[in-house]
Amino acid sequence: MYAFAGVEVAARTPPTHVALIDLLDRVLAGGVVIAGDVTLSIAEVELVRISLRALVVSIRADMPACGHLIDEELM
Amino acid sequence: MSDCAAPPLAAHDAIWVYAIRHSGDHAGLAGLRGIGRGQIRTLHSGPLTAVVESVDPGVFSAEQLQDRLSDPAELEALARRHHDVVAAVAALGPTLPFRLATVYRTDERVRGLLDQQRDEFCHRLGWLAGRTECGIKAWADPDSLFTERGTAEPADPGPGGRPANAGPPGPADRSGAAYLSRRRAELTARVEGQRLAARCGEEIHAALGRLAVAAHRHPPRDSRTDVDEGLMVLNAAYLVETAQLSQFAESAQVSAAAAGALKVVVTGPWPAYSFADGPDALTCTRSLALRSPRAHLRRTSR
Repeated sequence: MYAFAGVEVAARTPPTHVALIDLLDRVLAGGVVIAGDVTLSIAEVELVRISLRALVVSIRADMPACGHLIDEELM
Repeated sequence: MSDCAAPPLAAHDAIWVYAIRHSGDHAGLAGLRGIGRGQIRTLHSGPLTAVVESVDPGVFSAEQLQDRLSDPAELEALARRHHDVVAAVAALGPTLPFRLATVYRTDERVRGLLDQQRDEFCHRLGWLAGRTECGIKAWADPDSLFTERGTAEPADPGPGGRPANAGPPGPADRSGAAYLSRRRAELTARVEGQRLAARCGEEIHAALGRLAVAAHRHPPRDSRTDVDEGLMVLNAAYLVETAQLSQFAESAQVSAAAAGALKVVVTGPWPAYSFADGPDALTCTRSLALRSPRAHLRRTSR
C-alpha cells in the first residue's frame, strides 16, 4: 500500500473507485492510438470531454442524487 | 451500418482491444468480464499479447459508439469497464493501454497489428517496465497569491496617469480619477494573480519533472468546476519508478507548498495511459493532435 496524500492507494490492484474525470483524461486522450477498424477521432473525443465538463457542473448542483459520480474534487 | 459497400458482419466480428503486453502468464485475467460483459481473451503473436474481447458489432459499431459515448452514463460505464480490464492487465506487468473504443473486425487484424508494430511496442514496453503513472493535480488561489507574492509596485497608471506617489489627490480626483485608479489597481491585481497562479503550476511541474522519467500535462479543467478550490493550475501525469512512488507523492506535497498552491491531489498509481506513445513521442505530439479538425468517428473498411 502507498500512502498518497493521506489516501491509501493499493499498490498493484485496480483502484476500486477512481475519479471519473481523471479516468476520462486518460482513456479518452491517452492510450495507444492506432487506426483500428473503428476508432474514435480526436475531435470526437474533444466533444465528449466538453459535454463531460457540463455534466460535472450539473452534478455539483445536484450532488446527493448522483453520489456514484462524485469524486474527491467535487466534494 | 449505413455503409452499403461493407460486407455483412458475422455475429462476433468486432474485437475490442484493451491493452498489449509481453506474452507470458495471463492466468490473472481468468474470469474477467469486459465492456460487453464477454470473456476477456488474449491474442498472441511472437513476444506480444493483445488483451481483447469479442463484442457485438451491432452494439459497438461506429454509429452506436458515437451515440453511447454522447450519453454521460454510458460513457462512464464504458470508461470504467475498459479501465478495470486495463488495470487488471497492468497488475501483471508492463502494459500498453489502448485508447477507449479501438475496435478491430477480426482476430487476424489484431495479430497483424502486433506483427507490424512488434519492435515499437516491445520498445515501449521495455521503457515502461518497473515504472508507473502518477497523477498530480494542484489548485491555487490567485487573489491570495497576489496578496502574498504580488509585486509591491502599484498599478501602472498608464500614459498621462497620476503616479501613485504624487501626493494627495486634488478635489477633482476624488470622484472619476480615484475610481479609475482603483479599477485599474483591481484589474492589475486580477491579471497579476492569474499570472502568479500559472507560475505556481509551472513551478510544481518543473520540480516534479526533474524527479520523473517523463511528464505529460493534461488540459486543466474548466475553472467553473473549481470555484471552491481556487483555480486548477496543474493537471499532469508523471511516469515514475514504481519503487519511488511514495517518495514522489511526498515531493509533490512539498513542491506544491513551496509554490504556494492551495491544494494538491495525488492520484494513482495508474496504468501508463499518458505514456503509451512511448519515450519517442512525448507531450508535443498529443497536444498537436488535439487540434485535428476531424469531426466524426472514422471507419475504414477492409
